[in-house]
Amino acid sequence: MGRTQPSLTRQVEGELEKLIRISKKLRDDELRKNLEALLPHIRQVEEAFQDELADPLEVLLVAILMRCNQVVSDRRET
Amino acid sequence: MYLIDARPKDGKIELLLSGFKTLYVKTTFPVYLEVLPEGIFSHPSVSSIEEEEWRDLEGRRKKIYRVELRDYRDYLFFKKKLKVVNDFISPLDQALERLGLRPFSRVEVNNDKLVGKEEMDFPKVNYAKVVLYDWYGEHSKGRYYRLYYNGKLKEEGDVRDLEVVADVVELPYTVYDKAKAIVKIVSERKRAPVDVKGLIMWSKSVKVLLREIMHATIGKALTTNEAWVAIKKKYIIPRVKARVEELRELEELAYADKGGLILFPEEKCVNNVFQLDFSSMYPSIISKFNISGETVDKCDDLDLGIHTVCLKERGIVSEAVERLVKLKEFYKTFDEELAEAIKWILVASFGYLGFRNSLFGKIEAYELVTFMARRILREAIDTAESMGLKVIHGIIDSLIVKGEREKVEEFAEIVSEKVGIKLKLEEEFSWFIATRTNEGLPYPQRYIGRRRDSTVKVKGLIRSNQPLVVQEFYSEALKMMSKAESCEQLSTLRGELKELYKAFRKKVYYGEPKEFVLWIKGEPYIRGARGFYRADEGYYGHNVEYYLDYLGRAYEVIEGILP
Repeated sequence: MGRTQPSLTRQVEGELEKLIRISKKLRDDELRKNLEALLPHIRQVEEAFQDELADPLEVLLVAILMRCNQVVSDRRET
Repeated sequence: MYLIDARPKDGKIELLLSGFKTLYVKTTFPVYLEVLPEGIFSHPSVSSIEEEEWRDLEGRRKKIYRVELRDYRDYLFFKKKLKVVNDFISPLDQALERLGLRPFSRVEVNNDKLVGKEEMDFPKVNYAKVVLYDWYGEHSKGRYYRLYYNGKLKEEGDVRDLEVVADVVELPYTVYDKAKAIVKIVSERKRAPVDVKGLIMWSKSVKVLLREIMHATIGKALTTNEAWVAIKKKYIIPRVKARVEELRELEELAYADKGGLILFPEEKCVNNVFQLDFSSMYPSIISKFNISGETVDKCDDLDLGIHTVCLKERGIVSEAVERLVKLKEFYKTFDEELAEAIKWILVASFGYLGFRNSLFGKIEAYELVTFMARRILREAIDTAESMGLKVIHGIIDSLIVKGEREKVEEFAEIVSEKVGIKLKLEEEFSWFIATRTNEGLPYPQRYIGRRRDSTVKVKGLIRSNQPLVVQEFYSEALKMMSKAESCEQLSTLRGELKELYKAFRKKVYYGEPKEFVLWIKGEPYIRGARGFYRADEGYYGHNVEYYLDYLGRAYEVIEGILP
């Protein structure tokens, strides 16, 4: 039906599945929680990326940066 | 009398009319040849030959020859031996169209002349559907039957007592000889997603004999619809059209080749929301922007971002689709089933644009439709937000927004005006749940909304390949949820859900055999102690652990859905 490549959603899904597998194998609880907290943000960022020419890793990178920014802001406030 | 079927005879057509009447009409059959073979003039079947100027799909003018044949069998011979074009629509259908005798149109005799009367309404013909069933559900090997006559259940009984007489009948192979009908549609051979009434509608609306499309894919129906437009515009319809994509950069391809826009809802449960849908979004885009295989990237009349569209002439696909959109809107006012049948052709018309064997499509045209759809949905989202409405969810041509009703109605009007495609307020929900995956990530294609009248709208939760016991559990759980009027009330239902789950666990132990049937590719199976076995061969017990596990997963899904 005219699709010649996996969609961005499908590609990001692949990366997300990888991260979920990794989070389950992380032995440090805090690290695991941090990674799990990042996951929902990735989809939100991907939604904004849908009109662009984007690499799934780019989506991940922006999501990570935004999450870092959020954590730093929260810590600054407390 | 309505025209149900037709058979070509020597120099005439036998018309099979409703009520088992038969009439004959004299005619010849038009066959188009690219090259005239020597000696064709002396062929006994050839009545006349005309040289005509047509165009190929690239717009180049070409001469072809219309040969009028008396005997239809000679067309079948010509087809094998000569370069025949324009026969995607059979010469029989073309001859009928020329005589004004369309499938399922009313036929009258006026002064010894046959006249076909076109009516918009569903033809007054008798149609029937036979469904066989047994303890495990509906199946062609069932021992009992249900007979639906003109859409209503007429009788049930033992398959040995079945007798049916109608103009058109849909039935399984096993009872083929138990029906007297002009056209018999074999359920197992049917590839269309609609049943007998829908197929009659397809035959009528795309002007092709039911016999020719009853076992064909939807592609045949929609391409025929487009082929009529092509013939009217004098485009030569080749047997096969090679679709070679234009050479382009990989980045360009990655940018253009995308589907519709899907949002990922942030909130899990929201009170008081509205669902708005663009009516026939993809077909409307095709029609509005003149998108067709021969108009996209042919000239720069209209630059739509990723591709251009030529507006010098109405496109084949856009014109064909426009007629069906109007037809669908017309039927929607009084018969949802007919509108649904037309909707299927419209949906597939879009998909076929990008199909490599499509006669009138083109991959770039397909890309342009999804590109415009994304742009239109983004524009609608921006407008909603600028009006102070909150966009909860969006899937391709549908939006869920939160705000006051008056404002939502105003928003629908503004967007409809702005983009030129009607945005309709479809539903009002007292609560709306956007579901999540087990990992807590948004699952955009699965959602539940409760209407004000306590009914629920569900997408992506209950599937036909789940065991009946699981489907029933979901239905009961949804019924329970529908009593809640807000997300807050929903969150108090966990205890009740657990009780329901316990009751269904008991059912897994002591339920009826039919509760454990799973349908895989239309065949009934049960999971037994040694794996799956066919239910139509009898019930030999079920694997309780397997069904408990299945039910447990269903419970977790609902539990996870509750706010």
